[in-house]
Amino acid sequence: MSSTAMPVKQISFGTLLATIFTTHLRSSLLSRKAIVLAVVNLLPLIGAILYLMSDAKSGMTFYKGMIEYVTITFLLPLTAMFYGGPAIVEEIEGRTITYLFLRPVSKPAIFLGKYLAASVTVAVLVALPVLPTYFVAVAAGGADEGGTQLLAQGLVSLIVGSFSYTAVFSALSAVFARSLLASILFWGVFEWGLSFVPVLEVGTQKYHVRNAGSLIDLGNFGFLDKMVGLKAPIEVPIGASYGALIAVAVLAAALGAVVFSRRQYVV
Amino acid sequence: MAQQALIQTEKLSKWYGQVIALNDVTLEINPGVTGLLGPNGAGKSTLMKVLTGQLRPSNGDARIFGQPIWNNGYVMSRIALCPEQDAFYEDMTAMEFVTYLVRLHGYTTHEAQKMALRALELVELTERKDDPVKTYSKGMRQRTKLAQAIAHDPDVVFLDEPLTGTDPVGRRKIIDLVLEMGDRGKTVVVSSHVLHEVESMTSNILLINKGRVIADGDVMAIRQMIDGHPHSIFVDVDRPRDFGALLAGEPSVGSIAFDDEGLRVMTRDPNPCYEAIPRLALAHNFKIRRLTSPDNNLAAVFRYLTEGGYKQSAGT
Repeated sequence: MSSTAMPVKQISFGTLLATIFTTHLRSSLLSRKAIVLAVVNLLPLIGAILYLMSDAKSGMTFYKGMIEYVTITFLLPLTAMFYGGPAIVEEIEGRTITYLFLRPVSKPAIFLGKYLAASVTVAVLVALPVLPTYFVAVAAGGADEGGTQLLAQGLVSLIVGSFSYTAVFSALSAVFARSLLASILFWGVFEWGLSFVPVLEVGTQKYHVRNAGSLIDLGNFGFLDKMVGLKAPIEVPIGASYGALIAVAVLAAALGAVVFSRRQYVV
Repeated sequence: MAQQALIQTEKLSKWYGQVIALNDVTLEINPGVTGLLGPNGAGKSTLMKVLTGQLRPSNGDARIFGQPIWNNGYVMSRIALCPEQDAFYEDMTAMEFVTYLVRLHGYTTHEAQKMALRALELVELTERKDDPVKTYSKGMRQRTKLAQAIAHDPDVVFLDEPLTGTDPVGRRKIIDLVLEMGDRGKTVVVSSHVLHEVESMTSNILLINKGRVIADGDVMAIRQMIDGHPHSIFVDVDRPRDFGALLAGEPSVGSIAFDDEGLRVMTRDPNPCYEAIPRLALAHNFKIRRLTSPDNNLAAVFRYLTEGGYKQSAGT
């Protein structure tokens, strides 16, 4: 028996993770899907340019509305759905997962490497267009002293939100081996549905991304809030929202990694 | 004391839901080339997937180097699989693809590039190594899969239908490579549904059908059985009718039938027939795109083996 024939190379978890991350980040960023989603994520910028050309001149109000109701509500979860789930599912359906499972790589490293690559791609696609959108909005007038801070908070919350949403969609894909239906149900039923329900909306990622970006208007106290007996809008500290988003990202990524390493994928 | 076999299974079974793919398989495979022969759906690919840690046994045990295979990094570092499925990261070049997979064995980028280049040289793919895999022909894709399997110099190599879709020249290269690995003391397990293919690489075979190993041993005994059955060869060639007319003069050719894709040659003497087809094509400037042997020949033999009461150990 030749079990003593050749020493096995010792490979650190970090090295493997970095190899998988860099390789798949490059292919993610250069994919056709990235180009399509980059164009879709330019919607707020296009809106800002149109706004600049109109007579209305409250650029910051427009900017806040665009980021809160377009980028955070739609573009962030949509982009995360198109990258988070497929990060794993495309490997299974394309049968390339075989090549990765044939290496002395721990399965959590495969999952995490691909999840991180997907998250960075989502963050780049979603957060980058915010910069020109902001500057166009400023050019439209209405910028105040806190404008730059609002931009920075918005960018950071979108980046953290990218990792959080992508983690959930990646974990769903590891659990179900098919991501789209589970992701749509999660977003459409859980995230979207709960976001209209007083108090329970605090359980959504959308709420925390908005709150972390200082985009929640505390003056906006709605009929439903009053109906459930709230005297004032719920105020969650920004730090707590970051904590919640990071906790969701860590827990979902850990769950996905564990499921992925134990589950048997028949390709 | 008897030496432990390199690959061992003990009462190994694998179910997909209610369907049994492997049924109580006990086998031992030692260094050298071993052919895993069986018709499509016999369980060859499932056995390879279990032996390469892609699937977990439903029952029984599978070991390589005396160790369980599932989620075993040590085993994974020393084995390789050339899978049957035509799957790639299509936008990568062959060089990038093989380098990436070698890096996952813990090699630096520089080391991995050197190893990938050597493997691509062995499969004669260096000229197109920097082109995206999506631009490759079927044969080139097959050789790229083979390159990723041999690049890290594994001790055990599983090749699942490695000759599928290759042209005669590519087929010869792959066969030579398999023989060379066997000569170097590597353990090579080659699956095929075509006896002739396996025969060109080894005389040591495992016959598998309906999830069971029904015979193992020397190919000669199986050959004697298969020679009693007509053997068909499918040839995808330009100007099939002209080529058919040329082939008709060969004594080994029994009959020829044409269909939309090419021509089907029936023979009771496969070896000279397999030799004649590329020879005539080369001499008369025909371009063979594909040369395959449908598994109905083997299916007939398996019917004989399973229904005719044939028992284990063809070589004894």
